[in-house]
Amino acid sequence: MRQRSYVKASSRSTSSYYSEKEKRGRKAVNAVFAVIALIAVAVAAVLFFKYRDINLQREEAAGRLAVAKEETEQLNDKRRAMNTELENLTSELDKLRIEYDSLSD
Amino acid sequence: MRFLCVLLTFLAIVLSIFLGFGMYNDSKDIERFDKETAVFEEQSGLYRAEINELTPKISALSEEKASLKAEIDAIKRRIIYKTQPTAFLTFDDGTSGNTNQILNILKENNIKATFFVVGTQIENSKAGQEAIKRIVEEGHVLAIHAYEHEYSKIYTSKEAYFEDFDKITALLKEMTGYTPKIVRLPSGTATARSFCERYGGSTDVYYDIVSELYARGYTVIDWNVDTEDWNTATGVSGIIDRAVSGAKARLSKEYKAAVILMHDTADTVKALQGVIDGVKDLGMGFEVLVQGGYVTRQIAETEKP
Repeated sequence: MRQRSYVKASSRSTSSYYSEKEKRGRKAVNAVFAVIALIAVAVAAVLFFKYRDINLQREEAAGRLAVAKEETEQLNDKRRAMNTELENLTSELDKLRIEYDSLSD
Repeated sequence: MRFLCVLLTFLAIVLSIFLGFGMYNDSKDIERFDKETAVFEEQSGLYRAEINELTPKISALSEEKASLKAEIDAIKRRIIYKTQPTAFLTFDDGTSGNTNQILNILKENNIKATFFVVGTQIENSKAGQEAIKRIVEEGHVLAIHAYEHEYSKIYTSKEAYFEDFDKITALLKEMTGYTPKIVRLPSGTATARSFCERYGGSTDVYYDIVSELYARGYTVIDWNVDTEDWNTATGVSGIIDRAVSGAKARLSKEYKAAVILMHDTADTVKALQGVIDGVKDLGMGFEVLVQGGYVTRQIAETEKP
């Protein structure tokens, strides 16, 4: 009886021992999972901020492009208008020179 | 707990993949945008260079056009004055208390005239300033005579003349918002040359003054008909006779243009209607003096002989 009681006690203590070990194991595994999750979240966060920066840079580049495009279009319009003005002036001057010559005669 | 971690890790990985793709695409876009921007900037540079090249060309052509047009206008006017007798009524030394009456007579006859004004006559005179306002508003030509009509002061040197000249131009600009471009030297060019010799020691002073006036874009105009209205001995009938006979004498000239010199005197007011009627009877029309129009100078040269 005493022996059984010992066995029981012993088996109880063994079961208690495994349970503690198992608990520690589970905790360690949980910790590993948590660390991995944390690392993954941290990496995602870093990537998110990096993405935000790049996106901002993209917006800026798009802005620069829009400004450059608009400026180019404006300059092109001005250039065209000036060429037309030059043509008109040349033609007006030709007419005036003819008129001047006829009046001088 | 593990499930939560796995879920979190999974979501983080999925998010990272999306962000990675996003970053890759954005980087590509940035590269493309920068390339396109560079192309546009290069194109802008070319357009700018073309514009820079065109600007002086257009400016030169515009100047040439304006100058040619002015010359053509001048030729046309001269041609007109060869066939169409024209009188230019000009009033020196104003304004005065008689200017308003002169303006009334001109208005009644619908005639425009040219007024060569003196700064000291208008600077501190409310009536003078009102007259200037009327001259401009009623379409007459406001022209420059002098700030101070003092031969011994203004004809001592070119600098002295322009010190006086700058005062009258500034005064007229302040009053009217523009600077008249027609000038008549006090006493006219011939006597001005003598005064320059007397007070400035050389006729060079006169030539320097006239050259500088032209260099500054002004036109100097004398007269070819003198009514001598400044002399009280001339009298009203004398003024009319001198004006009409002087204008008549111009009809036999190549250019049938009579620039009639008068002053803002009381006798001139009394004679003006007679002058207008007499000149009209000669078949002459009335015009104002303008740049590019008829020019008469007692001394034609603007440069030193």
